[in-house]
Amino acid sequence: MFAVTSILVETDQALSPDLLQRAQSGDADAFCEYCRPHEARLFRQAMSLCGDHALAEDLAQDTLVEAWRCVRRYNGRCRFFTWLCAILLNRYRNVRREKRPVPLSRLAAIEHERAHDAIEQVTDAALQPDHAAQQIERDALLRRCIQQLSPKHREVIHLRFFVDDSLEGIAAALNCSVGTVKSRLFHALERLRAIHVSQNESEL
Amino acid sequence: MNPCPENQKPLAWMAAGALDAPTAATLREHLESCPRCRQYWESMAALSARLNSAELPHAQLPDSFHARLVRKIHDDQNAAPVSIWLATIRQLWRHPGLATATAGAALALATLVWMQNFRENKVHTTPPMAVHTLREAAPQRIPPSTLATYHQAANVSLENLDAVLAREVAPNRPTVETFTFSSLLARSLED
Repeated sequence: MFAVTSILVETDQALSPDLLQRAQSGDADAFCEYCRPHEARLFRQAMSLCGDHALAEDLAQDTLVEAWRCVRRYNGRCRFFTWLCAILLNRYRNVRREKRPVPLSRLAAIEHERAHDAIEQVTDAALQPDHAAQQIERDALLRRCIQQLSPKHREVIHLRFFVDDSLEGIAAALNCSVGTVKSRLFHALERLRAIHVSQNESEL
Repeated sequence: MNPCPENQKPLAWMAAGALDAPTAATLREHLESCPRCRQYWESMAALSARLNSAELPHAQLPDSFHARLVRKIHDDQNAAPVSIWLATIRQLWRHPGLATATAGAALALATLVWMQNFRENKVHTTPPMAVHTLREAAPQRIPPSTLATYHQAANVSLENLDAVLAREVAPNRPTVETFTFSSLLARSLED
């Protein structure tokens, strides 16, 4: 009844197919060169997930090393960056499983202040102070809401809204069907709406 | 207020920009006449707009990042066989069905190897044991009697001569009577 929009899956293979082919045949230098334009974006994605500079750097490094190990399996059905983000989300899930984060509210007063300072450092310098403060606050609230989702729902929200890929691209990156992505997207939005409303009410 | 059940999912997908244009157009027409669906749509559209406008942190990537990545990947390349094995095991671990099948295959292979070793050990150890057993179990062969044999037996005692003669008449007859269940049954029926 509700057909999915037929969107041509954009691939970055067209940009430098030679580098990708060389990387897939085992050329480490070609792989590093191919990934270089994605590094900063990937790092920012990692920052948005964990909010910690050192951890985000480790996550981005580990993601690219993991991508190197399985670059032969990349088939171009989704954008290369979406594929990297799917690996990043998977690694982040493992990190969370290994070490559960401590909520800000449970930290001691000094640590609480430090954490807030660290979050505030991550701002857009181009924005006006008032606007920037509101934006930071709203984004922080939204990130807290997203963190409360299950890993599968978090993945699909992240890839749809922060990586901005098509349903087909997300399905290829997560190795599942478009129907599964649509189902997860619906349930994730429903859950996120409920969490967002309750968070807003509690903070007002 | 809940939306019309059949429109709930399409409205959420439309908010996320994941609905085809013709269906979205039909749904927009419906929204004009249905306040319940309109309320749901407005809340979903607001959430979607918040998600779309959320900024990624403008954190600066350290300059040394790329150099460290290159070093790490070259290190990984040098240790490729180990990492490939680890990656394979990790992949298998993520797919329970595949992991079970592999574990089954590994168990079958281990059993085959063990059986092979067991058989080889058996081949090496069996012959001496078998020879030993055969030697022990072989019936004593009595040499054929001659006149000298009878003389020798008679010199020992007349009973000994009787025993030699009796053995020659019935060499396979057991000297001690043995009882089996069937023989006892037959004897009891005779009585």
